[in-house]
Amino acid sequence: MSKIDRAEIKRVAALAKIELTDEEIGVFSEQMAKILGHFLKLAEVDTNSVDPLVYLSSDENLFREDDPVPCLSLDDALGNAALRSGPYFRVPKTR
Amino acid sequence: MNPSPFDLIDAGVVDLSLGLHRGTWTAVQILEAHLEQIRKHDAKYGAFLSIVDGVHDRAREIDRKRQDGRPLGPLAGVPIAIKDNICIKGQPTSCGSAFLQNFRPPYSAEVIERLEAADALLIGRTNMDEFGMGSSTENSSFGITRNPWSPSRTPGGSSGGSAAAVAARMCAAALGSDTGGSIRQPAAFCGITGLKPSYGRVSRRGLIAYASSLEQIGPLTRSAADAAAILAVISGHDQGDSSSSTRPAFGLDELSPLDLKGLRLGLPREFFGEGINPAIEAQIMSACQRLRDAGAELVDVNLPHTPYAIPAYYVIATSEASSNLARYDGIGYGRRAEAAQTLDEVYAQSRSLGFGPEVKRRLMLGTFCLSSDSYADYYDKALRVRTLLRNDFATAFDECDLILGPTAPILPFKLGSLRNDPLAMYLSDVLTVSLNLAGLPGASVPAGFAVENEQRLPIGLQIIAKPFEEALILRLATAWEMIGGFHRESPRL
Repeated sequence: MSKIDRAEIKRVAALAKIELTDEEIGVFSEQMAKILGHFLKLAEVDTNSVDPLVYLSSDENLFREDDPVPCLSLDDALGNAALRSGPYFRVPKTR
Repeated sequence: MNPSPFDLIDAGVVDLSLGLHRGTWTAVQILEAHLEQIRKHDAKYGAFLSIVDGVHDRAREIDRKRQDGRPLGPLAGVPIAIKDNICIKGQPTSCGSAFLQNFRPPYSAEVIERLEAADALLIGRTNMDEFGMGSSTENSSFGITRNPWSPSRTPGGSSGGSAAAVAARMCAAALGSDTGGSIRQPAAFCGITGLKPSYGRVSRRGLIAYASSLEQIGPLTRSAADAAAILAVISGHDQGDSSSSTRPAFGLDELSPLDLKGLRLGLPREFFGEGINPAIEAQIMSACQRLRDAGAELVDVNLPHTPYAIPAYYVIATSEASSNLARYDGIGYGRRAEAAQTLDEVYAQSRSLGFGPEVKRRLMLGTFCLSSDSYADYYDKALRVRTLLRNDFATAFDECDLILGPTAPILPFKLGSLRNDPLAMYLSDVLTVSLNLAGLPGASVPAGFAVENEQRLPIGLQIIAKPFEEALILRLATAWEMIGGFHRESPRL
């Protein structure tokens, strides 16, 4: 089990793209250690000959005709964007 | 003669629609009676986030349709509240999150289109835990919701607004969503009926995603017949959701009266005893004995992996959430941090400003469980335990037709009492999460009351069936209503 110290919390926060305050880092490291400790209860179960259950549906692949259908207009699709530039979403310059 | 507003708010789905078809009342009268109930009481309970714009026009349109002799849909004039994570085109849909405070979906969810085609009245959007993450509706960015039976207590969650609105007669029915108990537990806490359909029964298109392999939309109502009426409209295959089943939709013709004689009701040992509030256990056992007196057979069954359901569920749910919520980048929709200078800052700052503490905690947990060092011990392990949990049910159903137990191990708790102990809150979902992991349908139906501090607090009986056997659940629920009669009780507001 990985140790849930402040450094580990910062690593996970960076992966999750969340900025945490110092106070949040403290609270989360304590709470996550407790919760992840409980999750490790799973190790008690012997799953060597058990497959993972990923899909609940027993349906085969579903296909449909590849016909054009109406879709969102440009204005509808961009309507909720904080910043827009003509027909585009606007983001800071990337390097 | 004008119908009394009391008749209208007490009537329920089936009777309201029947009365409208017959001309006993109009859609406008139905709407006014419910809006009046909201105006009178919702400042105290906080079930609704908003009333749907244009609902008056819609009611008049339905009345005109009837006057013109045009055919009316099966839910004509029935006021239905919608959980805030189900998209209604052009209406604010915020998922209980400050991140989506100003979001207006460019399209409606499949279930919304089906309700509208059935001439239902979408009355308002109901409060919920942010992104469905919680069991008390205290994690909403827009304030708490109170339990109509006891305002100092939680209505449950995450569909707490929907459950409170139905219990308080502010709408005839509501839609909720259930990822780990979020329909059934608030239904139990508010003394109403809540149905989580089989995975794949109802389209998830337009449901804001939290954990896609677990969640289903379903009805919250004041009777089994009302739940059936809603399910009949919203179920069935949708090309827009590839996980929706191609089986025929649920049909009301499946609801013949149930002969309890010879019906085998399984009681899992793991759902009783340690960890279950004794008042709840006593009430559930009493319900089971009354069903036995009416002819059913009670069978002991085992669900041996139940102690592992909570860790398996929370590993899978938070992992899926960490992937699903990656879409909230501050660019396409939702909150955007104004001070951010670089693309990475836009992502991280927008998410940090927009998400509340429980969402951040779950995204952190899920990200951890999916990260390369932890994947095998957490995510992959949980998926294997999920197989065992599903096998437990399959084995139990060899010996019984339905499984019964409590919906929640605890009574509606005081607001604030579990807020600082997330693990304790997670553990309270122990009786509901297994169904989501296995994809099974389940309902919570009113089964009586416990008295605590001189307050009557509702208790829910959970009825679990094999996949796609919602009809059997609803038939037993109807039989139980005739025996118990608890669905007729309503809180004094």
